[in-house]
Amino acid sequence: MQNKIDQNKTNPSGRIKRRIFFGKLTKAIAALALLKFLPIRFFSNYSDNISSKNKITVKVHPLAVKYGTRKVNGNE
Amino acid sequence: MEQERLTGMNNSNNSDNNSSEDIKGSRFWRSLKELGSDSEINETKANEFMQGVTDDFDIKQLAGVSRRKFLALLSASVAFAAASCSNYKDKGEIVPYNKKPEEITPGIANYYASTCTGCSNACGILIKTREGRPIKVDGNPQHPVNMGKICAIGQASVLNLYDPNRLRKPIKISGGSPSEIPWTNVDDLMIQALTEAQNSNKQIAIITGKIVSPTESKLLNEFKAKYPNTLFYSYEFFNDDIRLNAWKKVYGSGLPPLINWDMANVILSLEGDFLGSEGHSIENIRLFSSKRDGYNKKEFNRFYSVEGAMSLTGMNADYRMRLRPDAQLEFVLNLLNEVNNRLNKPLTINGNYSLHSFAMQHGLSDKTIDLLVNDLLSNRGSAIVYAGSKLPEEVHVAVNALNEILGNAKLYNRDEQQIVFSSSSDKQQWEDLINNMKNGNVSIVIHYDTNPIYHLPKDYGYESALRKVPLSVSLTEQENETSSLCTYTLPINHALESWGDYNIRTGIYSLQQPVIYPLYTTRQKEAALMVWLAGNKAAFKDNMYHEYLMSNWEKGLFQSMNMPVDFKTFWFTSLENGVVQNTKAGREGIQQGSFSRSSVSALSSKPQSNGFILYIKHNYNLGDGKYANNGWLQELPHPVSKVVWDNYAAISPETAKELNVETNDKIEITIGNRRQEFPVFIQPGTADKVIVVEAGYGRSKAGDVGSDIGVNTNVLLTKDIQLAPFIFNNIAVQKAHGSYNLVTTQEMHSLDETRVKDMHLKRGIIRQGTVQEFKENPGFLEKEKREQPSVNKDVQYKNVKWGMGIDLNKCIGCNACVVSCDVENNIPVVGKDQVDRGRIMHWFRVDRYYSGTPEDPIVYNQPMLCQHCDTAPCENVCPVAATSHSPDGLNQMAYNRCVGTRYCSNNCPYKVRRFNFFNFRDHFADGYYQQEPIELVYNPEVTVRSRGVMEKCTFCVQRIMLAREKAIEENRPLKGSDVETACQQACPSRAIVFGDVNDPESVVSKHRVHELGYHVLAEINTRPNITYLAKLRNTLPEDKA
Repeated sequence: MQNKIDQNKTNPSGRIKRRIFFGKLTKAIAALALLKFLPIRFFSNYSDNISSKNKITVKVHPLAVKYGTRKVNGNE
Repeated sequence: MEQERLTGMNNSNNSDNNSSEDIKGSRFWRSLKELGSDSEINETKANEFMQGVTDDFDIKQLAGVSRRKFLALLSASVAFAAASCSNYKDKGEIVPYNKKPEEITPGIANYYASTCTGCSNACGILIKTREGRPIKVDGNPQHPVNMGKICAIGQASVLNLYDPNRLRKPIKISGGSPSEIPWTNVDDLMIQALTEAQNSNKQIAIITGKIVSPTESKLLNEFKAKYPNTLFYSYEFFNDDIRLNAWKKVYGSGLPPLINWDMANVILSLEGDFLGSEGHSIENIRLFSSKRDGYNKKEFNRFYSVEGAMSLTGMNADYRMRLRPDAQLEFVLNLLNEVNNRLNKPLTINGNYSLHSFAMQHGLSDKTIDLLVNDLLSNRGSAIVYAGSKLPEEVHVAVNALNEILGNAKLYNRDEQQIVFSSSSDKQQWEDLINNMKNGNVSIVIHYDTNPIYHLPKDYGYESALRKVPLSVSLTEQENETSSLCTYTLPINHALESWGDYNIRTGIYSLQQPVIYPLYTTRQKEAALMVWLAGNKAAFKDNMYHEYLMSNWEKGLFQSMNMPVDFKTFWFTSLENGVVQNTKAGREGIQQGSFSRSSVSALSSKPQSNGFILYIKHNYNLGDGKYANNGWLQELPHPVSKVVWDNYAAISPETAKELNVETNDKIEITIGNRRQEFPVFIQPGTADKVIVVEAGYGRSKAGDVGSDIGVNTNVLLTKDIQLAPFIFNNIAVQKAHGSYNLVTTQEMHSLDETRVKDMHLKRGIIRQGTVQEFKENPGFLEKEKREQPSVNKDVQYKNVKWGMGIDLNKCIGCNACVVSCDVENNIPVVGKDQVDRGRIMHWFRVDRYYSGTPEDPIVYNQPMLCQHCDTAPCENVCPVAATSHSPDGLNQMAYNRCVGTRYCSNNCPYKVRRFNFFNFRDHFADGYYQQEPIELVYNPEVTVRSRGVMEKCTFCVQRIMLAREKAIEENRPLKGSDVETACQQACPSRAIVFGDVNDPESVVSKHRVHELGYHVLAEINTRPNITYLAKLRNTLPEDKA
């Protein structure tokens, strides 16, 4: 890449113009925001592709009766 | 260079010495140019810097990225990456309960009593739930039959509840394509179809499994009463029908009795597998191992096994002889004749028999035969002869006769017997059904949680007949071979979502209750029938079978027991305990007819073939194939061969030579027009010319995990039984093309290679002796003990120090401990290819060693897990101190410190450390075990490890912490008996003990000071905290083997 001095984008001192800088920053933030909401597997160790309509609800059966109060591990 | 400098020192003007003669005179040159006295080279040698190197540089010649720009890009990239990476731990929000269910306290487990439906033994179970979801299944300590223990299949059954392949909604197949259909529509269609079938006099066929539930049996009878054209056909793939028929033949009536194995001094098993897959194996293991106790040398039983296939039971025999299954009849008749003669001939036996000639003909040891006969005769009334359930009926008749004349009927359980609600359908019934199906006389077929297309012999033609039935229904949890051809596939509740009752023994009734609301749009299969019985789809209620069950109990059992409480109290107490014992049931159900001598005199030996014989066995892990989609069970090593993820044809080394095959080659077995290829596995201890294969594999529609695993053995079955349903002689066997990679977790070259032969005995990994030696000199193993002194001061463990003891006399190698550990500690399934690379993740394994000859090996089983060594070699070498020693004696593992150098695993002499080479949940089967709702099965008390982390047995530290917190809460010291590890809890033979080594009264302390107690590899001074009790064989004193 050539290090051309583009007078539209840089000041005479060689520094990038403020409006150009903020323009690039805005684009970067917009791209980040878009990525955050997409289910990108690359950035996550677990698949997030779970459709909400397939959500499984765990519910204790209302009629189940718990086992007694005695210990279940070790001796009684 | 050195030489040149030296050369330069010799020449006064080294740098100017450029003449070719000088260079030629030098011994070394760096390049051809130097050799040729190139001027450029000479100049280079004279000047330190190349020409132009110090000239000013032109910025325009440099790369376009300035430092400023580079830093800007760098910071933008870092910000970008940090912001866009989502927190992989973020699985959603934890929202506290708005209305907390009364029985749930987050972080505290609840337990529910229920019944296992993995097989027809209906063991009582205790289900541990966390936040409403079942995570572990163990035995119900209150159940009088299994007494707190269940088998490997029962342990792993919880995974099936969360199997992503479970059906979620009813499916209709029309025009070959499936579509979802609401239950109400199904109800309407079924009621209409049933009514039409009844009106048009067409048959309604219901195919069931073995019915062991009184309420279910009543419901089916009511269904038949409503639809009289209904016929029931039932089957159990591996059943005890042969034993049942033989009993009736000998005694006229009644059922084969249960055996009091704990009262037997001598046991002779003929192709029997009572510790593995026959009868109530959990009860049998407990009773059998109660008389194999290192603390009680006087009451050790003696076990003879005569079998053709090396079985889990046969591995534990004191004396084992190989005999092909079709010769068992001849053997038992010879034995019966010999015993009969010595007892002055109480029976008339037709035929000429000579036990010694038979032994010589079949290569049996004369000496062992003599010992056997003498032993049976000297233990009359306290010995038992047992025939395997797959042997022909005549063998069972002869065995009944042998027990009768030896007086062994004293060992029959007179207080309880098994209950049979319905008998299996015979060949004629199946043929009638299939003919009716083909002829259009059957209007509806309902598969009541059965899979006959996979299980029935192909020559019945069931599949083609089913295609002709107008309406076929499959009530099933998962898609299977039968449901894929049915009009409607209706999903049913898992066992943990269902109500039920079971009566398998006289007076013992166990209840099944749902511990979780059905996850999907499923119904209890009984409830589906009830709606069709009611004739109105609006009759369905979620708890309709529950009400029916309660009503049946109120009118039936409750009345008969004459309880002093009201029914509701009785009902809730029964549900709480999971089991009810009606002691008033008594013996009125037990009838035994008189012994028929004519049944014995009718016996005669049959001519034997010398050809190959095929023996189809029950698979210990998958049963009849029902659990093919369960990854834990597929990956569980076979107790004998240690093969995973496959079945195979087990043959003897001699047979392998005859067929010119080795392990991983293939053979083709042909029986008539039925043919199948199997991979070969050379199994020591298999009788010559016997090919042993196990069923349950080769399923085509068993889900993502279980489909196309192994070979379908059922294609070799036939409805025309000659010898026995699972034994075929006169088969053709030949080597087939190609090879197949069988994966085993244990190498078995130890018998052939001189360097490693009997290494387990030479290195003291297995210590063994005989009961006789132990009686004469209890300290006979002392000289072999290799405990080393240490130059370091021993660490003093104040308070509790955890240790474990394992009695090798009781361990039979059933692997229930392995699966229990898998479930408790969230062990991942890795798949066949990773197991092949030695990456199986089981923290607990059962090592199986052979000694002796490949033909007649002596087998030892040894559970192996992290020894929690006091001077653990793994702790010293961790560069990040991820593994350390706790103040209570545990070798700890900090997963989040581990960086995965694997040095600890390298240093571990017991090879018990497991490394997560992958995130196996993601890696196995395209992330199968990352799908919803599999994550619900994880035990929240144990970290789920990810990639790059070392793991190993923790002595169930989560259970220790729980017990410690409880002790603190109760303001008392923690006791060793407060904690039961998962493996200890699961072990049916109670071989594993766990507790406080510092408590001299604890069993584990007693193991440490026992004469038989030893540590594995003690000579390397790791100071392990697991004490093994040496294996004793109860050989006879006159047999100096």
